[in-house]
Amino acid sequence: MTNNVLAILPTYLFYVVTAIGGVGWFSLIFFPRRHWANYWVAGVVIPSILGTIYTGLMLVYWFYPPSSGWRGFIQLDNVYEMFANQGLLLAAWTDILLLSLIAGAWVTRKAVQMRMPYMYLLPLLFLMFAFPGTGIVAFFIVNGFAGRTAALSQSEDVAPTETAPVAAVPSAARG
Amino acid sequence: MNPFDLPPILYQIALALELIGWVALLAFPWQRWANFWLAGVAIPQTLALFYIYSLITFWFLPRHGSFRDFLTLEGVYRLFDNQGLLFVAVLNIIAMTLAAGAWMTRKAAQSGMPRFLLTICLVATVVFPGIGFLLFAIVASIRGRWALISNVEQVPAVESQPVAAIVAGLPQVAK
Repeated sequence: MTNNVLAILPTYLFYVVTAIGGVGWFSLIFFPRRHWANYWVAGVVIPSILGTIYTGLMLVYWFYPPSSGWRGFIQLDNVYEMFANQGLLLAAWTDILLLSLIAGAWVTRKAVQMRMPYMYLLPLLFLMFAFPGTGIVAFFIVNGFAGRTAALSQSEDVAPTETAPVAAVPSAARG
Repeated sequence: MNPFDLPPILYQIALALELIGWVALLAFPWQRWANFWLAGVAIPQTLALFYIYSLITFWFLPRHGSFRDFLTLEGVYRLFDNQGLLFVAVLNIIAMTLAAGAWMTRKAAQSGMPRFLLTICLVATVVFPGIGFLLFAIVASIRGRWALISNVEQVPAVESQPVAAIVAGLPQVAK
């Protein structure tokens, strides 16, 4: 009984996972400049939910036949064998969705910080949604043409803001 | 050799490239050349170029890719009958994992996360990306680091001219 459920579960869970990922992309495409969308929803909350599902899938299906072991990490043929296990195939799919969304959310935040026009960002987001690898190269090219590569690097190096605020008193007022 | 097959060595080359990025992240997490330029830009972009090339060359080979395959789990599995597209999916995972790992490292640096916690998250990410990100998400919720990260992720690009601050009470310097 349990085995039957486990055998058909991935087919349906696929739609759930894809829909959750879709919500993230939807919020990025429609609200790219909102911090709640490009950071909290698409950058933190949805990746964490997908990460939880991924963890569950891995725990359940890693030992479920056909179980793969670690060989899949060394040869491409073994990766293919591994994906005969639908649960692990779904885990890989979830992984792709989750990582692409993290990258997509980051690209969107950086585009906002670099003041990239929405006209350029929108096609980049669609490209990242369909083909993440192509999208991220395109982002660096567009950003590079705008001469913002150094600014991008700087924006990733801002010091933490956890110092206590200080009171600035003009010297004339000190008496 | 079947021309439709992917040379197996390519997979190992991709893995080796990825590994260089991870070693750099683990060994020099606080250095910008490692956590931004190498593991965040250079290696993910190289892998993404591999990705684009394999995608273009294998998408139209039998059994060729179709967008409809993205819609079901069975479709995704059928897509992977094509070795090149399987390689594309694997490249997607490893390139995005490294990009996400580099991002996590930079944010750990910016939010003052202890190195041993970061190392645990990174090692988990290399092996099981979803679990690694989930761990990072949990660690980052301690002491409100997500909020700190949120702050540094919305600092606008610094492209304004420097201004001169004149202390109140001092005579202004004539131009």
